[in-house]
Amino acid sequence: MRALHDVSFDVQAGEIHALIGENGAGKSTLMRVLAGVYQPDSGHVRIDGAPARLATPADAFARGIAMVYQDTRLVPVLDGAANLYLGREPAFGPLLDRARMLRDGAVLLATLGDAPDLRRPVSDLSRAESQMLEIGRALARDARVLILDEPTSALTSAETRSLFERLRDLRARGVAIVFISHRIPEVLALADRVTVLKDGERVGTLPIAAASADRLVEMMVGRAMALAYPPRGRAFGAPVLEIDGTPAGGRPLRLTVHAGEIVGLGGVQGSGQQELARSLFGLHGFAGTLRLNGAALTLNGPRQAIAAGLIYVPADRRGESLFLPHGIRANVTAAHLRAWSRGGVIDAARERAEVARQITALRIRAPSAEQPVALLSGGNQQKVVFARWFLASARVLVFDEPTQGVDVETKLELYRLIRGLADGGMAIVVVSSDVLELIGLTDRIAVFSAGGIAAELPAAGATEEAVIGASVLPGRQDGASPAPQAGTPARRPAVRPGALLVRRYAAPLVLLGLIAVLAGATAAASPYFLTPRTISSLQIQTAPLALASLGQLAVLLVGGIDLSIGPTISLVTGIASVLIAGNGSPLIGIAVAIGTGLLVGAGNAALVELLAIPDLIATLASFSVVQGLALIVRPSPGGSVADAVADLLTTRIGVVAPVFLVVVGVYVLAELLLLRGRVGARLYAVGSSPEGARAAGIPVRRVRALSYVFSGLAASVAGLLVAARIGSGDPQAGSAFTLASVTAAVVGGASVFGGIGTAAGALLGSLLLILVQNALNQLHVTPYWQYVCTGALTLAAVAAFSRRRKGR
Amino acid sequence: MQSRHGFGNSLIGLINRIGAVWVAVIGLYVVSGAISPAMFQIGQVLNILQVAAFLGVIACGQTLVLLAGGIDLSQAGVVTLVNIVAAEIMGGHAANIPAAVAACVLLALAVGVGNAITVTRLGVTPLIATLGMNAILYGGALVYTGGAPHGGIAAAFAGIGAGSVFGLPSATLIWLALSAAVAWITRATAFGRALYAAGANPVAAHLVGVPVARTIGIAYVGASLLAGAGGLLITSYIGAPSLGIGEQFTLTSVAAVVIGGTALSGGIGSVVATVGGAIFVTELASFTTIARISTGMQYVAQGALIALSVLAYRAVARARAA
Repeated sequence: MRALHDVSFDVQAGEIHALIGENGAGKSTLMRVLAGVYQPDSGHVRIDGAPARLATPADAFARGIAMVYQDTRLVPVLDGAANLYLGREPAFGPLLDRARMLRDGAVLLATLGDAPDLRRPVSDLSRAESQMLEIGRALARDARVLILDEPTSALTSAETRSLFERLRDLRARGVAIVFISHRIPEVLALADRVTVLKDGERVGTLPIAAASADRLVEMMVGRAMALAYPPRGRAFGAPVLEIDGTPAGGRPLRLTVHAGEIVGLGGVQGSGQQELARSLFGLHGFAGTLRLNGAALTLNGPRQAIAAGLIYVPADRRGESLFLPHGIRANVTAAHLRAWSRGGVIDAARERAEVARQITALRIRAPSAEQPVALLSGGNQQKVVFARWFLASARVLVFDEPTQGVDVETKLELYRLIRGLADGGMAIVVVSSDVLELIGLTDRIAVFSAGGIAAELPAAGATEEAVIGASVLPGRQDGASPAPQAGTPARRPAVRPGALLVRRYAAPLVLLGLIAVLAGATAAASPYFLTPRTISSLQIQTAPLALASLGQLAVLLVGGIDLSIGPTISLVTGIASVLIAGNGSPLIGIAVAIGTGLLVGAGNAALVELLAIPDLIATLASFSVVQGLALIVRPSPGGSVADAVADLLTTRIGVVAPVFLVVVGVYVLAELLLLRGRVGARLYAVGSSPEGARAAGIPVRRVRALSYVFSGLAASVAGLLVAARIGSGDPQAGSAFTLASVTAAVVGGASVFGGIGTAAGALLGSLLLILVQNALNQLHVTPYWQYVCTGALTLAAVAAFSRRRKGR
Repeated sequence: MQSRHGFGNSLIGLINRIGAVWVAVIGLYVVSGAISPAMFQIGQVLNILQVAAFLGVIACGQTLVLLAGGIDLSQAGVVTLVNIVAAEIMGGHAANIPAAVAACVLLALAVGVGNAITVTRLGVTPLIATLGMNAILYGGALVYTGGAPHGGIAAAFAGIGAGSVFGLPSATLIWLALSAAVAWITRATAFGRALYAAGANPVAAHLVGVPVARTIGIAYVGASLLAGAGGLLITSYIGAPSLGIGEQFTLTSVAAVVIGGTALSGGIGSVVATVGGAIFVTELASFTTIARISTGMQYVAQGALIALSVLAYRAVARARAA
């Protein structure tokens, strides 16, 4: 699909240049070319007259072009300051200069208005605050060109006024600003020049003095009504669908659709029309009454809606409609599993016949009914979706953007099919961002603006001016001010840093309590528990698991998982028992062991990042390979690790094991780097929002790859500690570590979906696991319970965290 | 170039006709036979089919879960626990067979329901949920036996796993019958179709009225029950309880399914191809044993094959789309 055709566009320093046009006119596409997200097939970008190649967002950033996206690209788990400077933080070596970030950031944001507390995580901020942060981020990078995509869509009128003042200030400072908007009054109030796009082409550019609302609407419309739409319905029946209520986040509205009628829902995207359509299927909240053929209907999900005869056809065909790898037949049948089966068995003859009939009737072009729909054109894919629902006994069909991504010829076929359904007595709702489609296809158009219906027009005789006017000039129709969707949020008190730290360390704090209780109870029950010997051996046992867990944590933070940790530990014990055996220098053996760990990590990184094998299957494969190598090096337990090394790593001084102190030191460093280091900001950003990280110019794949390498390194050092403790090589020595490392990290609060977790939690998680084992021992319970405990702890922790996060 | 192109095309054609995994099974058989002619003996073939039966039944269950877009790493634990419990309850007496089998089926059912609840209701990722469950089961086996399993199977029970019918190992026949039944369920029933749909695109499945959570839950129950069946078969074959008996299946059940072409992403693959995958994995182990290749090398080869088969199936899918 070609989104843009021969468009030229320029913006000057110290200018606000507005870019307007209907949905799909190509505004966002054009700006994404400038921001380095898309590459043009032909043409070029010139900066200060010189051609510039913008291959990535980082390139664009480097050239001083920054884009503020309508859907924010901030990293939700990081705080304001970290987001503001992500990718180019002021730092002392590896540590962030937080004081400077907070100070400079506050000064910077103060120039933009009432700034949010920069220590607050972005997930806590309002849309307006996030937007301000995004603009601030652009300024922090000395952007000379600032592109704002629909910046006012989520702002109240007061916030909009304040944003405009800031933009005027920036203009005065020589920044070139591109302002994409649907709202003509705002454009007239703010811009110096305005360019109108239509169907991917430039209609014209006007100085603002020459522009008026009517003139701009006139330029946005005027597409030829080239398509031959089917004739409209003549007589409508009784009301079939009656809506009277408020979709969540919108305004109260009433709408009735009659039998045989097609009602179009139009307006600027995001004005509430799609929310209404989805609420009919129970996919979006709705308060009020819905009546189907006069009977009240409470919707709680698609199954029930379908059973009631109400069907929603989503706009996102690939994401929400189709089973891409499956054939046409399976895609059609999926909606009729119960209707077409007897005693749970699909009536295959009926299935084949029904599907074949639809393929013929809808003229779906495919070699066979088994053709995977992934290989069909957009138009044929949509026909498959139509076929699916033509076979249902529906009374209301809601089409969301039914012709998006469909060629013109197929569009006409789809129009005829939709009209045919209406003529057959069905009530039809069509959501469309194509104004001509609404006018040509429907009988009545409800134009949405700011979450409610701004105007209802008969489609016959409706003009583009009328429809677009109602959607972009809401003031004309109902006197409402432009879209104060949410009330002005009350200023929140400044956040106390202590509260944020408590939130970050909630899981570790709980663990600390658990550990204290468990240790206390065991000590009370067993006199041998609080002896120097037990305490120091607890530390020696914890050290390797803690290291392995730190590696696992690094991978979990970026959204992956490393199953090869256990076998790596086994392999390293084998290597140690061969190469660190005699009286010679242990350095070679240590080097080989660590090199092996790094190699395993690099191998995992290559499988996951270069060959794009899913992390689970990639590390399961390397699990097998590394386990094999462990068996080759040491087929059965044996050999011995040089006493000097073993003693060094298992020394105890009173109640203290130095090796554990070293591990704790590593952890303190790791926690510091996660909390205040550049590394931490990158790991959290990549795991929490790869999109956001990429937009900030962070090399996402490299960060993920390095996490795997680090995990391999950590596992190899853990392996050396295990070898020292058992004094020999054992191909099964590490087998418990794969699960235990995941458990420790997850019990400590890490999310298996990435972006959340602390080193402190992983350390305490490791300690808890080892403590449980020892407590069982001390209490003379068979040590075998430790497996059960590890498993149960894992399940409990993950279930608890996933529920808590769902609740948020 | 021309001829290589021709060869590539005809290979793709062959793969399209009979399925990549069967091409691999035959290819490996020919190559391994050429290196170790012992592979060509009928006894060796029967032995492969006999041993593949255990893996095959378990992997058949794993296929269900992978089709649903999940994974079940607790199958190993089910096999071990079933083995221990069956031997313990049976204690060598034929009269105890029904009680032992019933206990094992209930056990597998409980594990499956547990996995289904943690995955679909508590929202735990399948990997973690089943890895945790596996640890609980293995620990349970250790606790139950105190580390030293005892008991044994009844002679009558041995006939199931170790006997033969018309010269074919009865375990193999059971495996093929179970696979045929499960294949039919996945292809011809409403549940099977729902399974493929929920695995390929859970959102779209939900929007067309498929009960996604229930479908995925049933897949976990099925995987666990089939792991239990595999555990009973292998117990009947070996005759004695062993704490280490299930462990191998953690990896091999996933390997057999993935080598059969079932994708981890869900909704793609087939139970019949998993039959081929189980044969392939067993064939490879058998060949490496005959060729005196170490256990370690077997693991290495198996891991490499898992990664390779993911890449190979992706390449085949691309070639088909082009």
